[in-house]
Amino acid sequence: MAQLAASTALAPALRAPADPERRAMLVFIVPAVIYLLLLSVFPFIYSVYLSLHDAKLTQMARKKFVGFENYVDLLTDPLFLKSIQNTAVLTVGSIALEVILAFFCAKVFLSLKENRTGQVMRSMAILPMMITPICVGLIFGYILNPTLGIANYLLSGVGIDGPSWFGDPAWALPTVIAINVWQWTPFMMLLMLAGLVSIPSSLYEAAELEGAKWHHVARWIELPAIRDVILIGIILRVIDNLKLFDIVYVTTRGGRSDATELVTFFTYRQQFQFFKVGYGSAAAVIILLISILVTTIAVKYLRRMQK
Amino acid sequence: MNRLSNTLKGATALALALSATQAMAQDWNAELGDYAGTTLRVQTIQDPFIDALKGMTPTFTGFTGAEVTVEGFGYDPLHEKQILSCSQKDNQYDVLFVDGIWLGEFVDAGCIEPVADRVAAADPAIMAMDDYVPSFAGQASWNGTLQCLPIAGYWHLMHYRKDLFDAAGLKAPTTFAELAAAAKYFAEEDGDPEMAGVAMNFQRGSAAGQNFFEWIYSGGGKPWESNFPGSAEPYADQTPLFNSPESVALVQFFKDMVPFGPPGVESFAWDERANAFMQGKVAMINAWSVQTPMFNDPATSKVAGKFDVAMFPHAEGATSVPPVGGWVMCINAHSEQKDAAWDFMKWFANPATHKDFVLAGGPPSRVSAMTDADITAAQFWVPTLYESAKLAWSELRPRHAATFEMIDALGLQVNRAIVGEAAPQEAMDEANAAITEILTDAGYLK
Amino acid sequence: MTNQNVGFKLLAAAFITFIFTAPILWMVLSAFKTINDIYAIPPVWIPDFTYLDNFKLLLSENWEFLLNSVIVTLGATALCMIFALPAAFGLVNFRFRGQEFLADWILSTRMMPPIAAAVPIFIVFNTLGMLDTLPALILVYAGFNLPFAVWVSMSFFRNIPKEVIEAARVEGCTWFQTFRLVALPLAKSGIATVATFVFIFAWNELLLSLFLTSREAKTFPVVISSFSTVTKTYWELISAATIIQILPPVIFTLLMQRHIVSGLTMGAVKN
Repeated sequence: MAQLAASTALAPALRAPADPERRAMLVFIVPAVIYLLLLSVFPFIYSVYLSLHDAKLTQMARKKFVGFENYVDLLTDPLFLKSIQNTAVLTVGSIALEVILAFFCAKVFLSLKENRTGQVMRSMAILPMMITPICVGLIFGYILNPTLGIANYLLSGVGIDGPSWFGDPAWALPTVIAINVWQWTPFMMLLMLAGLVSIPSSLYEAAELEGAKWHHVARWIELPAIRDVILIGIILRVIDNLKLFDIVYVTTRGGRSDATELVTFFTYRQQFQFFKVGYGSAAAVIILLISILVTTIAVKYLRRMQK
Repeated sequence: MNRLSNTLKGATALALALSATQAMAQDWNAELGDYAGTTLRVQTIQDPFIDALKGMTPTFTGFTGAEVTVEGFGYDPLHEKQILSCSQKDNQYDVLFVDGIWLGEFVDAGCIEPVADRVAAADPAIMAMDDYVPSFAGQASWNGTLQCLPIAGYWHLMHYRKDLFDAAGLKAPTTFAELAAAAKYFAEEDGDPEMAGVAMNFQRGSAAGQNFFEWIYSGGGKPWESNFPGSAEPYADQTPLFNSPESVALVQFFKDMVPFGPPGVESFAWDERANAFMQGKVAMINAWSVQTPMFNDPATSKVAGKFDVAMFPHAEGATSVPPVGGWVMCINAHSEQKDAAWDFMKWFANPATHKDFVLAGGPPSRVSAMTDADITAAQFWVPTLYESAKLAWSELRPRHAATFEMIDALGLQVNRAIVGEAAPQEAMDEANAAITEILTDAGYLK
Repeated sequence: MTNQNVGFKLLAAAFITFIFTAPILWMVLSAFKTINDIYAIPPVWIPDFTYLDNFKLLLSENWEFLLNSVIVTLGATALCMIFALPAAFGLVNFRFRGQEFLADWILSTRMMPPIAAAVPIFIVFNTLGMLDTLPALILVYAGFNLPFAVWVSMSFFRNIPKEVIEAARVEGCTWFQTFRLVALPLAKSGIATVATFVFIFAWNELLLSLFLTSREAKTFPVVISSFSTVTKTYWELISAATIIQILPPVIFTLLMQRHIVSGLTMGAVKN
């Protein structure tokens, strides 16, 4: 385990506290490391332990050891499998849309980077990404409400019967994806802007002289310049999507079964609605293993970029 | 208690209750303890009755000196909070409002101090236990012991647009067939494209699951072997019957109602249906009586004064069994102020206080309130509510520790059938299999 | 670029800006509407901004939870920085075996989904009798933001020229003095950025607070989530509460936008 290896790395520091250099290391770094060990290693080990038991949170004294039964049940539970599928669709769908939309938004604002009005509008357009996620969920819960929402009212004005955005199983996940995209496209856009501004204008001029079409420019000049930032953006967004909870919690109110069941939500419901902590912990362990996998890749790229 | 069903005797009970309270009105100071300087905390659902509840508490403070704070939570969060607090023996709340269908789980987990002994020791005139409507009072007991006081009972009423029905020369539906005919008329034949016929709880998950339980008895079926109106031991044989011919026919009936609903009705739950009705977009909805005052409030509803209520309909050859639910008031087993909590409950549940509560917008749970002239004058739906309450069956939904999971699993399959992802028979076969597994795991099925 | 071209670009930018701000604005407008107007279709477009009853009702019953949010957020930010800054300084300036690995591991803990740690954390605080207390929330929020704070602070300490640190050491400063008298003042603005980020992350958090609190330590996002119930959704309270809740992040975004990219990418991308 990565965590165990981390404590091994600290061992020399812990062994020789007499040396002032090492004592400084101990005082500066060790508290934070212990803090994180308690917050990440301990819960992980405890989750693994619980996942091997049939346990109810309300009757912890009565838990019994069942080996890998919870894992076997999970991997044959259609709802859990659906939640993995939903999470994958959400992740891939959101990120793909975010990248495409962000590219066009970034191009627009890039061309206005010297324009005062353009700058002001850019500051406004990035508001969604830091807003409290639960509020984002509620804002759209209000706008997309089937009877009092303004979205379906506006649609009816042009003769369209708006769907029941969150309730209709066919629409629920696309709607959650759309909200996700609304909140995070600005982030991807800022990332791309950071990459695009580094392209010297002489390159654009040269391309124009040679009669390059816009897609040539995009393919041969812009994409190479922003490839790395896009990669970072994608990695961070994958991790965010594995954690996504708040928006689903307020929009589908936790009761709409499989349509927007995400792995986080599945786990949450097992643990805090049905109080089946053994089963829920098994799901938690699987989520953790998936995120460790993604994280390993992520950390490698982030370190390379930061240098 | 059942014998009290005719109006005459109801009125007698009312007179008795009134005279009893008048005699006691000045006795509360003596009856209740002195709790000056303490704060009593009430944890409840954020349902429309919460404002009435909050408005009542200063009176109790006047008698006892105890401050009372009332805190409302959403449905799922309340369940989650109460169970989690209980598992940590938390004493922050003294009085808990608990959904009648959660009671088995709460008792098993040791969250509630049963009130049976305190009731037995108290003045019967104050408690007036016979005055509670039996179909809801049953939900305050578990394992044959009275656990809580059945203080906020809800029954389903069929709400319909009286103005439109009158104009069309239609009568309120009493059978499923009449319901379907009226729904079809308003959806397709009344010349108003905006008006839909009927909206039921079709939303995937707990809403559709609850909907099944609400309709199955009036549809002539039962959810499991030994659970039927009047059953002496509803939990004796829990062999599930969710794929019985009656169950499948009921789901087919739900599916048949979809074309007569507002756009998106396949995914409506309580809130969406209430909004559709209040915005005048649907002619009929069956809904918990706790929402009725809201429908009749001009501040939120466009149909205030335009609708009437009727008894829950039934299938041909069956009888109406209106759904019953609501909130029972319990003493937190871990509270350190149980005596004060009990005094609050005793005072709040008393017939005279209850009448004030109902007049302020609370749901009536006592015969004396349902037959009270002031109340029926102010709330036109109460006589129908009383008639419905007499026919309701208190064990309509499961009330044990696997309830949440069971309703959730059922609600997934019922909705799949409604939206056409699976044929009703196929969906209900799957529901039956899933529920069999849940009940077996939980130890309710051998 | 021709004027016509700029005009077209501005139009496109205006459209984009509208898409990303209109939903927020619509909720803001609703906070000033009566219940009747909130439910009105066709909608009431411009409310009477002097109608403040929704705010009054909201705050009269929930001001203490808003205060909880402020205390928890400030407490968590302070605690987080106290642990993060020395660690970040040490990871940049000390040389030891496994140094890179340790930094990577710290970063990887940032990626952990909180739900995976939820039950163990709940059980620990339950055992310690600390559920529903402000210190418990502060400890957890500080901890979950620690990896972020360490990693991004590292990028600021790395910007301090090595010679400056070495000079201080040669002058006879202890590591602690070097940290306090040299490194901290030089990285001041960077540290402020990190702290503001931690503040916003903690301010926005819902999941952990949902089950670690019940009453005493309930935070504002949990209050907001309770306005949406099965039988009724209190849109008038939700819209008023949303304005209050999103005010800090909105101000933050407008003032700190230059740092957002580098913050959210853990310092990997510079603006």
